[in-house]
Amino acid sequence: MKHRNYWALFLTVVLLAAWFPSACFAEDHLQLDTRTETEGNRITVTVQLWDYIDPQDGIQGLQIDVDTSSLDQTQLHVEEPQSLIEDTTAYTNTAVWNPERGILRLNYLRFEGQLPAPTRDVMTFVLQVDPNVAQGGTVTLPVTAKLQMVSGLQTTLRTDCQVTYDAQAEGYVSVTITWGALDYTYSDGVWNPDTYLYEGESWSDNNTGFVTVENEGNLPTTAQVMFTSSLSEIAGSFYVDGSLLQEPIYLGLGESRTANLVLEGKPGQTFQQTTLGTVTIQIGEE
Amino acid sequence: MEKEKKKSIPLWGAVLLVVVAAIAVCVAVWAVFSQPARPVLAPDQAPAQEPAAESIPGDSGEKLESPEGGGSVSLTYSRDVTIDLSDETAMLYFANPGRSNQDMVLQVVIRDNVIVQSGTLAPGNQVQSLTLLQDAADMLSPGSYEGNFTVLYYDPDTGEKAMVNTEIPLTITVQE
Repeated sequence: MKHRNYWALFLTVVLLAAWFPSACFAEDHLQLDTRTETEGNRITVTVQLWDYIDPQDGIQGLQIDVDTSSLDQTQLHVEEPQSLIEDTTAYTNTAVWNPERGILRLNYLRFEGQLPAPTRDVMTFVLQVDPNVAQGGTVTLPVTAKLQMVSGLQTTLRTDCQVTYDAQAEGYVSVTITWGALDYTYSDGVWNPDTYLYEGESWSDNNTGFVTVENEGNLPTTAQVMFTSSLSEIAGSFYVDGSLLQEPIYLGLGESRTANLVLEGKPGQTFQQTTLGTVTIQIGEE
Repeated sequence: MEKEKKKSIPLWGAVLLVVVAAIAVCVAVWAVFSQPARPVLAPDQAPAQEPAAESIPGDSGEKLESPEGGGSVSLTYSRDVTIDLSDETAMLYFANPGRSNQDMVLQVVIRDNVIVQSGTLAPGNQVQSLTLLQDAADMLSPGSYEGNFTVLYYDPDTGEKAMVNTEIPLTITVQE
C-alpha cells in the first residue's frame, strides 16, 4: 500500500512538472508576422498570429498596434483597418486608425472563454500609393501585439512590417529660373592722396546680380550656377546664403534657392553697356 | 687630277625622307577626313518660330513675376531623348510653359556637337519631335549617348539673347 502511494505521488509530481512549464510559457511559441500583397496601387497588409492552433492557455485579450508615424501620408494613404477574427461573441473585436497618433489598432477582448483556435489572420489594412508618386520606396512599420492569456499571463510580441511600393507616375523635372538684370558697375574707389592710389575698388550689382532656381517637378534635382567671363581680367563666383557655391545645389520637391553673382577684377579698359559674360545654370539629377 | 666625288644622298637620309613624307601624308589625310567638332552656335537673335511646336494643353498662361531687366522662365522636360537615324528626327519632350516671359531655343548637344536646334519656342508651347541638323545623323551610330539640352533665352519683344542659359544632362538613345 505504501509503495502505491509513493508511486502515485511520484507520477503526480512528474505530470505537474511536465505540465507547469507549458502552462506558464504556452505563449512562448506564438509568433507575430505580417504578409503584404500588392495589386496595382493597393498594398494589402495582413497581420498574422502564428502557432495559435491548440493552445493550452488561450488568448482572452489581444491588442495589436501598427505604428504608421513614419509613413509619408502624402505618398501612402491608409484605409480603415479591419479585424479578421471571426468571433461574434467577443466583448470587443474592432480595428481603428488614429491618423493623429499614427496608430492602427486592433482591440479584441472576451470576459469568458478565449480566442477561437486556430486563428492566424487577425487584422488587415490597405495602403494606397498616391498616383503622383514618382519614386518607389520601402517603409518599415513596427507592429506590437499585447496578449492577455486566460491564465492571467501577459506577454508582448513584436515584429516589423516592410512595405515596398512602386512609382505610380512618370517622373518629370520642372524648374522655374528667375534672374535679375545682372547689371554691374565698377568703381575705382576713393583716391588716396598719400599713396596716389585708388582704394576700395569694387563691383556693385544694385541688387540685380542673382539667379533663383525652384524645383516644381515630382523628382528632386540639383542646380549648378556658373559664370563664364568674356574678359580675361574679370572673374565671377556665385554665393548661396553667404557661402561660395562650389557644389551643385540640391533641390528637393518644392525647394527654391538663390545664388548671388560676385564679380572681381579690374577692367582693362573703360566701357559701357558691355556684356561681361554668360551665366549658365546646369540642372542635374539627384 | 682627282676625280670629283659624286655627291649623293646617304642611305640614312633617304630613309629619313621617306619616313617624314609618310608622316606628312598621314597627317594630311587625317586633317582632311577627320570631322571637326560642330560648334555650338547660339543665335544672337531669336530665329523663326519652331514649326513642330504645339500649344501646351490646359496651360493657363499666368505669368511669373519677373525682375525688371531680368527674366523668369519655367521649364518642363523629360531627360530621355530618342534619335531615329532613318527619319533623322529626335523624339523628346520639352515645354516652355505660358508662365515664362522669355522665348526659348532648344539645342541637343553631344560632345560639343549641336545635333538638334529648334526654332523659337514661345511661352505656352512644347515640342515632342525635332529634326536633326544637316549631317548630324552621320556623326551618330546606334547606341546610347550622354548629352545635354542647352536652352537659350530671348526677349520676346526685341529678340535679343539673354545673358543666361541652361544646360540639362540627357540620356540619348540612337536607333536605326
